[in-house]
Amino acid sequence: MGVSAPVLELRNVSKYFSYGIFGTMLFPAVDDVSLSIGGTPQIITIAGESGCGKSTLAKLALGFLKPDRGKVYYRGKDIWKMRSREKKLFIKEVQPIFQDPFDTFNPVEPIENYLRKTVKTFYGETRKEDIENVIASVLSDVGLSYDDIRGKKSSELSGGQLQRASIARALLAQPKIIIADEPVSMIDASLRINILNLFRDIKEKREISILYITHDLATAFYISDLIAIMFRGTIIELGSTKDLMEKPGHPYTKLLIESVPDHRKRDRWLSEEVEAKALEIEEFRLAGCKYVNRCPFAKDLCRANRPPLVEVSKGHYVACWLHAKS
Amino acid sequence: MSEEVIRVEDLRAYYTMPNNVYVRAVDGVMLKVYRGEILGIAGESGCGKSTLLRAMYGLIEYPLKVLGGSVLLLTKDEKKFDMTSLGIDRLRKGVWWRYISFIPQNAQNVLNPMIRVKDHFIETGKNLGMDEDEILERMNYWIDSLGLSRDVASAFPIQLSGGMRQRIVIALAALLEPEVLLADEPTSALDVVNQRVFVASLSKLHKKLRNTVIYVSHDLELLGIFTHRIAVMYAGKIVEVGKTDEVFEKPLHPYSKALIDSIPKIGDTRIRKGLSGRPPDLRNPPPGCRFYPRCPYATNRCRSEEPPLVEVSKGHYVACWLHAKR
Repeated sequence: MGVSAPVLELRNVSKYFSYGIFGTMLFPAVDDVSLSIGGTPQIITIAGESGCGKSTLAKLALGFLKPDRGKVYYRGKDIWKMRSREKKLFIKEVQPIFQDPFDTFNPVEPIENYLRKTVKTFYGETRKEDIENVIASVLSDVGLSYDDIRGKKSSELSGGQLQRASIARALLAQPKIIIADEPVSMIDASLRINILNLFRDIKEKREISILYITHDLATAFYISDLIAIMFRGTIIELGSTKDLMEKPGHPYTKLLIESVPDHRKRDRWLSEEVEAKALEIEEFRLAGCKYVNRCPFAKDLCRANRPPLVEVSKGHYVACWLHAKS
Repeated sequence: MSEEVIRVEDLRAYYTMPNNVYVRAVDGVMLKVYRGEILGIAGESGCGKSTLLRAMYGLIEYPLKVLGGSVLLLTKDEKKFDMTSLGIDRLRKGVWWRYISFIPQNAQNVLNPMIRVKDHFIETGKNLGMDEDEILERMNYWIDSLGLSRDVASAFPIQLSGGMRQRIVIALAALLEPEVLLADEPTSALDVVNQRVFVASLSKLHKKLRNTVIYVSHDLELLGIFTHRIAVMYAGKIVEVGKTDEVFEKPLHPYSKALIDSIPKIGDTRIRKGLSGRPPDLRNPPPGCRFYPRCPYATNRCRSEEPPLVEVSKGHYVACWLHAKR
């Protein structure tokens, strides 16, 4: 147990989307997911391939989407039944960072206007000098100076600089939790690592927890304390970075880790036969384990029943009938 | 590996902008590609790698213009094609598909979703003067070779996953068994498992055809798995070319080194550092070495004189004053 209770908690959350010609059929994009964030500051990663439901989960956690089943609690209160004062605190303390930093800022408005507004809203500062001091101090924490952004619009900064500015904007709200959906996927590799290092600094120095949503396992293993692997709407494995690396429990986790390109392991990477089946909607709708059509260990039990997420060692959970008792 | 199949000589391919401004996307590139090799071209967004590949294919369309230099395709039957000046009509008639094929970015979207897979093959083959039996025989051969089920032939692309559609595009590109296959980031929209299947398929095809593959990617680690040689591009120029293992083990250019050091590896959580700054504006690139504003080793000479591409050890070339003698 952490030092303090979780701040943001998703409890058995599901979200359904419609598909088909008239949108009459439903599939669960997020299917009965539970997750706690906060307490001791940590970086939790939700990793999975495109269409696994990770971005939907981020939107549910941020209150951008309302769950169809289950509840999202912030400091013990259901975020969809909050009074306006509580809701304001939730919005201030749980800050988003988006994939494309060019979407965060209006292209015709100078970036500093956004930062000023954020300071006015959350600090109550009104003197120009005080506002600029607050902004300058946060900018220096993210590796920018006030001169880098003074009078500039988003198109005048590089993607990396702009993502730093959007992290600064989030930090100005003095959040407890940052939810970052693919924050570095549009940034070149040589700059990406610096942003990841910045997240680590933010966690350590400001004691902010970060929910990092990514398809990129190499970066997930680089900065995370905890990793959750999602597949077709469900969390199939959750554990410390060390647990997942040293003893991944789910066949899908193993396949994902082995498939990350690494030139030192080229022979194995190329020689092993992997088959990627992807009739996505069908997989989402499976009643039993959603990985059953791809799994080399699939049994009748897997088709019939969804495996529960069971604790295989302390803090390491796997949803697979290889590890659970029926 | 000594016979040349493509020779790029001092190629300058620019994008035209209003007011006689040019974006110098490919600016003085020299490159020899050898028969039977898999060559990777690596670099970050805007470095000119995709433009170079387009120029090799002869796909020069407004606003892209070739202002100097040439690309020669030297075929087994001793023909010589000047790719950048032949014009698209003549390339389409006698060169494309037969001698050289192109797999574009987002290859999964190039198939018409409402035309059966089989009919894509028949239409392409007939345009190239093949009869239907021959086309179907070759189609089945490639579908089998790439690990697809023959059912896909009668399916509509819309029924198939992105990964499967991408392999069909490889099969289509291989229809006439071209001597050269160009691929422009074909896996950037795929998850790691599908990416692995795609690259394994491409390697299989290469083993069967013993043709030449040129593969452009921003992902150096991916290129490390299946290429024989790697060329690293920065700001419109090739800064380093060498055998894949040599480029990884002893990168000579500070940019290549930074790129390799910035990629996190699973199981290695050492703090890594990326680059600072951003690539130069290619409308108005700096004199001298284009990397000097970001280079930790920059000297006065780097600011004023452009380093030549010199051979430091056998087959390993670099354009950097740290390695060039004067």
